[in-house]
Amino acid sequence: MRAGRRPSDAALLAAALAMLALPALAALGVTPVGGFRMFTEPVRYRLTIFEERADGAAYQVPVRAILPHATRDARRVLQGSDRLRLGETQARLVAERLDAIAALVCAQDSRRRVVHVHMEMEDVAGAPLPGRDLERRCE
Amino acid sequence: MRARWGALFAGEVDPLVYAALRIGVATLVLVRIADWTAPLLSLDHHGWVRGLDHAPSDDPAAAPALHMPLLGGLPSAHSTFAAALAWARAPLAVLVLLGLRPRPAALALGVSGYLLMALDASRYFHHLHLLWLSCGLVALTPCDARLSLWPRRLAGAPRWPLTLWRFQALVIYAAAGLAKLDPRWLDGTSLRAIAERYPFEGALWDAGLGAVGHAGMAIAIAAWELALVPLLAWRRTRLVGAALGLALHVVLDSTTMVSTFGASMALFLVTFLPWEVSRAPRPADRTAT
Repeated sequence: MRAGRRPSDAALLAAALAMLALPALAALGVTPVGGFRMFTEPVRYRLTIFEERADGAAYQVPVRAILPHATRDARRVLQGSDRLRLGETQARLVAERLDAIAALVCAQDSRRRVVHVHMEMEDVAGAPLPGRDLERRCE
Repeated sequence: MRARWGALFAGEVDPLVYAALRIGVATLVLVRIADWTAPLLSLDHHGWVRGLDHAPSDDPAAAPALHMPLLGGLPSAHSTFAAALAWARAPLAVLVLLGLRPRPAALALGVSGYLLMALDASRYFHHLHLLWLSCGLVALTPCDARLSLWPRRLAGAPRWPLTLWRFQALVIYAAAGLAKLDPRWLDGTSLRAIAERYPFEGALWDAGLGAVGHAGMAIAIAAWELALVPLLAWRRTRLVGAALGLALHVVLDSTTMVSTFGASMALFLVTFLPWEVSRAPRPADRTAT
């Protein structure tokens, strides 16, 4: 028995381009996923969560309050992020999913009417990077 | 141009290389997805993995659970779907290891791994991405012709999957090296910050730091990674490139936590050994010309 036929040149070119796609997107800053930019993108980040209640009172929600509800990997990223801490790819990815954190905080306590989540980020030289802000009205 | 492109993928190689990649990748998966090796070895992932990694039963969360998928529309990381994926990986990896339907098993393994990773945005690691990508690449190879329980009779293995493995390795080294041509990396700022937060240790690290400092180490790592691309790409320097690549991963593995990344890359470096075979033309080949 001989090996199967070789794929067409177009298929092989498509495979090669697919291998280049994620590193190229990472270099352009579109996504850190698949970038293989090993050790080069450390960021300092701080997560701040506030809740507003129906009576108008506002409170800060400590990050530790959401940790028991998270996966082990999420706990590693979120733990200690009340204060600036160092992270890499996962921190950038979590910053894109603040809606999920807001939804959890809403679901934790029915008295919450609005939840604000803020992720502050800076590079290792202390220069500010675009942060993320999210406001969610609890149903 | 087209002829040169075709020549990159034409020809045959020793099927042993595909069997070695299959066994290597399956072994890495079996080691990485759980902590069962903890009593025998001290591996990086034992620092955070308990039981079966990503299995909801071994990673419980209080209700309501944080649902933070990498892509919208995916089910919870604590769902039955997640549990099924987590538990499916071990038998799939065993099938790949033994060479029993290894190509569909490797493909299913890669898909399971990627899906589990995508169920939580905080689960992304480069070494896991590389592991599941390697499973996908194994699925392209005729990897059951050697060292499998029931070897498939195969007179020759095509070279094109090997070329794709090699190209992927070049992309990884190029991406890692080019990303380091950044002032914050080259002046040592990023490396210093990372070394303060994560464990960077060992005789090689101490000696390098003492000799050239963070900036010198950062430049050396960037130059090392970038040099591997031409060295591995050019046939005459491939063995030197593979040796230097292996040395890079030994240094990194002995210095900091990169989990299975170094071992995965070592498998990629194996593909740069001279696996090409020259075959005497068969009668059918002669009549065709």
